[in-house]
Amino acid sequence: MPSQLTVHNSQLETQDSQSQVPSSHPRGCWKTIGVWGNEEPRCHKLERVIHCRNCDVFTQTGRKLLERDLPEEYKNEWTKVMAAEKEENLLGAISMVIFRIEEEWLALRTQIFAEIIDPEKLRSHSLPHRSNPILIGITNVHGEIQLCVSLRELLGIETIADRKKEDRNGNKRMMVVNSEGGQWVFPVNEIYGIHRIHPSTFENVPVTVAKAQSTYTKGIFNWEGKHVAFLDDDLLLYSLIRNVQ
Amino acid sequence: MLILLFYIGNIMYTIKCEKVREIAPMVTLKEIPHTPDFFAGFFNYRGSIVPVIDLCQLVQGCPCRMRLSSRIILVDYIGKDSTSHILGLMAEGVTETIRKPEEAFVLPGIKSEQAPYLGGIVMEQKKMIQYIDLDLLPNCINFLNKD
Repeated sequence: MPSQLTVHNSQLETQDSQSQVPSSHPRGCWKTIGVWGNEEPRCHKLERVIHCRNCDVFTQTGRKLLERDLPEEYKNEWTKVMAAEKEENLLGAISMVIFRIEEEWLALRTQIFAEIIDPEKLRSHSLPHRSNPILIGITNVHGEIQLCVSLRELLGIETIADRKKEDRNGNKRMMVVNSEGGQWVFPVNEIYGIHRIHPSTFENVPVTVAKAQSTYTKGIFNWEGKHVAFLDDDLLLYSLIRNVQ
Repeated sequence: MLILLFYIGNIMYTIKCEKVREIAPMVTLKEIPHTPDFFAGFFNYRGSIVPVIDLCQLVQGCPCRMRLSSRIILVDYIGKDSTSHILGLMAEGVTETIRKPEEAFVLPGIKSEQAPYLGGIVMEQKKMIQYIDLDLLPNCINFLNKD
């Protein structure tokens, strides 16, 4: 009896190993019968795992990449990193998107952003009989019509004519922000990215800034030698609604 | 409970993550002569000196292989002077964590005289994984108890 039992077990094992044929595939099964390939028949595991990245075979092959010898430079580099003080993130730091309109660097809370779109993919249509400089027009964001506004006009930022336009145009972006009433779209000249700034580093807005911009500015901080104005998004969105009505 | 899986030679072991402070990549250690083989050296961990134990050497008697997946597990322990210290544990294949309920930890009732920190078993599917008891390990390493 015991010998029969062992035979039965080994049969089970062979069945098991047959079901894992893809793992021994020389090119990587995910590139042939998986989601990154189009060979027939499709991998039967896909029915269960949907995508290769959920599959053991793919995960285990990825892990095997770490079973390589340790390069000496890698070790030296990490020795330096681990010996240095860890950069602690200050509690209460605000995550914000830093962007540029003409010559002014501005920042808004990251939470209000819905997305950032390449202006090539987003055309705005002007509205007839509306001569409001703040309202640029309407634009199609994923099939929904949203208002496109000019923060430059609202904040009263002057256009700098002599700026080298050709090398800057590629950095232009459309920012989409969420508000209670829907989304707003506005063009900016450049986006730096997302940064965490602690409110304690904020400086007061200089009283000499007489423009409308100072009303919207919660604080000014120094970032890579530039002064960046952190804008009050509640006030900004509120006055946008008031201005386009 | 989150547990960290790693390898000593070809055998999988695990520790509970609650005592783990950080997983550091392999770094250059300051070796000290006339110390036991399992003592890998001192690690300059963010400005403080942390002793690192080679678990492969301690458990199996052969040094840890230098792979990209070999890492140093930094754990906190309470020394004999009742203050908290950091200890580095070098192991191979430190790439995965899994979640296990408290019931999955079984003490089979066998105590090894030489290695009391080993012995507990975690059941993972059909496999049995030994876990290293971090409360017992630092006390088993004699030269750590000098202070």
